[in-house]
Amino acid sequence: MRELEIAGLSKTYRSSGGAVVALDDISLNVRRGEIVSVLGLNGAGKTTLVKIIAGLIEPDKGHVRLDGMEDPTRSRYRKCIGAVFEGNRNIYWRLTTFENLEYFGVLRGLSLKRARERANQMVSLFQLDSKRSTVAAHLSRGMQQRLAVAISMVHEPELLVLDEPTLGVDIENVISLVASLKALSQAGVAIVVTSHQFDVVKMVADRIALIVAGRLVALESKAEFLASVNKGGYSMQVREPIDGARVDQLRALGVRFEEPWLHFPEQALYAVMDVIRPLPITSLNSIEDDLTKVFLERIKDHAHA
Amino acid sequence: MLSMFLVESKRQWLIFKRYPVESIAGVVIFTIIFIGLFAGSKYLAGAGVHFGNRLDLVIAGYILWLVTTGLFAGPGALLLEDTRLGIIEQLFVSPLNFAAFTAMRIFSGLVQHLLLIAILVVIISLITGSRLDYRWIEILPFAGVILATSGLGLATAAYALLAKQVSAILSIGQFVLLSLVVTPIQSFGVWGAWLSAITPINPAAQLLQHQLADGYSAGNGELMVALGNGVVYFLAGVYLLELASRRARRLASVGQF
Repeated sequence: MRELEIAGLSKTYRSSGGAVVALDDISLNVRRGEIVSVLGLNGAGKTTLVKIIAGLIEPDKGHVRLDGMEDPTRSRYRKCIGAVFEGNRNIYWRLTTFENLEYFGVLRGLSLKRARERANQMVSLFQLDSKRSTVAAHLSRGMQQRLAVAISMVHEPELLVLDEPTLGVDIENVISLVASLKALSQAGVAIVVTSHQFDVVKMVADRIALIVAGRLVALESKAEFLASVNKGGYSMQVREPIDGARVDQLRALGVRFEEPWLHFPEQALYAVMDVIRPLPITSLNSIEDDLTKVFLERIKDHAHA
Repeated sequence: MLSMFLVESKRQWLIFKRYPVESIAGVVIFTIIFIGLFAGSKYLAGAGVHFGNRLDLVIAGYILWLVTTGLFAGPGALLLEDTRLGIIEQLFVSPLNFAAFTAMRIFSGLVQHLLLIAILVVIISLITGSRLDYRWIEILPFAGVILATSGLGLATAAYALLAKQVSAILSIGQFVLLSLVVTPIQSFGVWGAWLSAITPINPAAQLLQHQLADGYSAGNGELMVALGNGVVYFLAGVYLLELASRRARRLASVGQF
């Protein structure tokens, strides 16, 4: 695959209660080996976007093109795509790990022999060896989700769409899933992932697409997105109250007080520490790393726009 | 599609093997219902009465009705089960056409379904002493019954895909199927034969009952009508499900309850 191209996508849901615009003229592209994370509040349109890419929803306007193939309902397009959808188990509960991989491999167009070969490979790749013959209903939520992602990859797709893949998954399985996604992206698979778990987004995303009320308001590299609000700097927490003299000195250094946090520019770090000494510092974070804060600020910008 | 047929058959067999109670319970319940009907009729008719080939006709009709109820309910029930499990989206993302895949599923479960019916036939024959007349030629009207019923089942699945509920149709459907199987529409005056020919399942079911119960030798025309009726309703069912799939994509309602 060279590129997934999304151009001018619009979708409105109509019912007797009125019309809701789910997507409004969304255009973006995803390159080979790239992970694009789609962020937005609930109801922003993330799932609609993912389902249009997967061919489950027909847009009112616009198109999705994968290497020149424009119709997501065509067999050729579908052979190139793998998907895991939010809130679904995406697996047969009464089949074992291996049987699920074999079944969905054939469902995705592999021959029975090839599906079995790939099922064996996926069991190893996703570290499911010990659960190979376990009925899926008896797997933990994290294992089930790992199996769902393994199933979505069994036919070697070039594009993977994942809607909240780590929802309800324990940290050990999240780390394992993140490692698998990174490995897939390095192998050239393009990945579109939605998530509300910003630590996961921070770990996997190359670029971030921010959707607000159906509109794409940002499509930036992760570094650009993080720097867009906080322009660098630090946040510090001190265990004891800071006296008035120190507060004045800190204000002069550009420190902003936001109980219980002190925020200040990057270049003021050591000067601030000199003023604070010997009060005990309980927390010191680079603001650049705070994706949640950036997300909320950016959402706020557009809510006020 | 052959590989898919094999893995789907394997899936259904594994589920039957791992959770046999659900399937076997059906055989037990339908046997008990028949024993109740049979014993009740005998009691009402009196001890000295012999039912003769009318009993064979009733048994043939009852068995065909059981064949049709399972096939009719299958596609819609499987579709709702897959929706509940969160599998349906995966089926839609597959390179296989959804309507063709659903139709294929009916046939992959057919052997299992017919095996359970065969057990029931043996039990009923032992209880009643009835012997039906089995001949190879009966495969044609039997195929007509299977195809026409599957077509109605696919049409019900099409409705289930859009309406997200199908239990009322499945309940009422059992009685509709019973009338389609046992009503001798062909004997309704001069237009009876035509009316039967265009009614789903009826020409094949009526012909088969007479073949099984009376040893009736059917002409080529009757066999063709029985099979043709099945093929037309089957294709209509596939087409309706295809239309419903397209509509579900437009309405963004695939998998949404």
